Amino acid sequence: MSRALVAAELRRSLRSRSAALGAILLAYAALALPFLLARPPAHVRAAAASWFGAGDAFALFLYLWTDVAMNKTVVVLGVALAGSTLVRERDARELPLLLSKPVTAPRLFAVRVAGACAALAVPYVGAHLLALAVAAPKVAGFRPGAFLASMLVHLGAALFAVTFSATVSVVVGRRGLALLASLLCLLTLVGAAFAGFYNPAWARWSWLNPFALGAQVLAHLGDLRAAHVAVPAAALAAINLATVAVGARAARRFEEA
Amino acid sequence: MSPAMSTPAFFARRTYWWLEARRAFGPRTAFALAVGVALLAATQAAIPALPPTATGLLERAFELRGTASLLLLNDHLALYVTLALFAQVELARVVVGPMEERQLALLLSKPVGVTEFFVARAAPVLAAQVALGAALTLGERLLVADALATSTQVTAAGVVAGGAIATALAVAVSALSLALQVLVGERELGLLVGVVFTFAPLLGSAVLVYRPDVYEGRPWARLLTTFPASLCAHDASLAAAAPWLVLGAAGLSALALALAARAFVARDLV
Repeated sequence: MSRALVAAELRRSLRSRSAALGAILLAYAALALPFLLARPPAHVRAAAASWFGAGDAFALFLYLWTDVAMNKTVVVLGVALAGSTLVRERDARELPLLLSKPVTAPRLFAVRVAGACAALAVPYVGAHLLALAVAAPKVAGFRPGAFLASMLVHLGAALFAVTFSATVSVVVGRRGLALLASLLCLLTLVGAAFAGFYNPAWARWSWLNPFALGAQVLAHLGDLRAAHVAVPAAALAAINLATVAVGARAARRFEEA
Repeated sequence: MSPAMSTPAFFARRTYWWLEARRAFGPRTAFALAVGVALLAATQAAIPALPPTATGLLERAFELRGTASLLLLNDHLALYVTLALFAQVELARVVVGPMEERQLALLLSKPVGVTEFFVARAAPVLAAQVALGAALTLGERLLVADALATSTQVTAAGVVAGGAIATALAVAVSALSLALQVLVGERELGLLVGVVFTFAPLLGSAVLVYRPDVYEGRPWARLLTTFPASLCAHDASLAAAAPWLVLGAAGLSALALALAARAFVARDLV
């Protein structure tokens, strides 16, 4: 795969207006969350203690950061960045021109997904660094190591929003239906991300949900070890690669378009 | 029919409006309905299975009492999100999609005015949203029937009124975001802006859970900004308030549609 093509795609994605708006949304989440956490009521602290085994301010912060701030934002941003992959170019009659270069449709799909992943990952990591600077002094018992470990795992879930919506785009092949299907499916998965915490009987099944995997650091805050980060991160990497492989295979038919 | 318009022209335009209306009730509408029903069914299965820690938190945060109120809270949320996201995607087809696909000039070569073209494509989407809202409200009413029998807080009339208000809010938010979509002029970015608009009315509920002190001494702010929890907590007065709220939302939607049409004409895209 041409390095120049990958570099051009990364530049295009990072400079897109969707990536800029996404960066604003993620920065807003980092700045607004300390306000939401300033005075949590006792019943919220008690619920957090029962779900995460730790009722301290940091556990509550990490829960809100993952659930309220990151999950919803990355889903919408992922769909906006990748929800029309190749279909948009086909509808705009740009695809024959793009495929006249020495690149196949599956490779073009993979490059587009890589660019969209970068456009999501850069502001995502930036928002975490901003939260480290803004929230850490305001949250009692803030643990930068656990926060960054959670970021590493949850980044895989965030990228799933990109790989899934890109794959849905080429599988469905119709722009509106693909966008709607991606949004509704991903928001449903996000809605169920913490189901295993709310009801431990569902914990085993929730491992099938990438967004539940992305929240696994919260389950081990009291005794966080390398395996608690590596296992869900590796599982998410495998899910993302498999999703891209399915999408790349479906992208073959775009060579005939 | 205006006096200047000939009979064949009138029928041709009526056919055009009919064609656009039919496009709004396509496979995506059926898909949204199926997802909405699946979400309602999932709520009925999940909420009663939640342990008291989770249900107690919701009941205390939103001043709810019993399973029926908890079911309706999630049902109204599912209805609103399904309707609003459906419209955000569908409204992108009104002008932004054809613009990107370089079909706008061709579409506007029809013997219809620019404003009429815009309204003929956008209004059916909002009508499809209303139809979806009515179907999902009926679904809510049927699914919570057993829980309602033992509820001391929510009633059958409140379910229908709450569904109507959630639908009206989704329509108004979608119509308001349409002008922005036109100004943005890019389908995916327009969708991103539209979804931010969709979630904005839900932020108050998050504040109520984690910072209830913000609402202390501000009952009106709590009533107006904590959708959908306020629908369940004020069930008793909902049936009387619903017609006025729906009427207000309809007026706002019409105004927003007119503004979006004006923005479209002003952009002079052809």
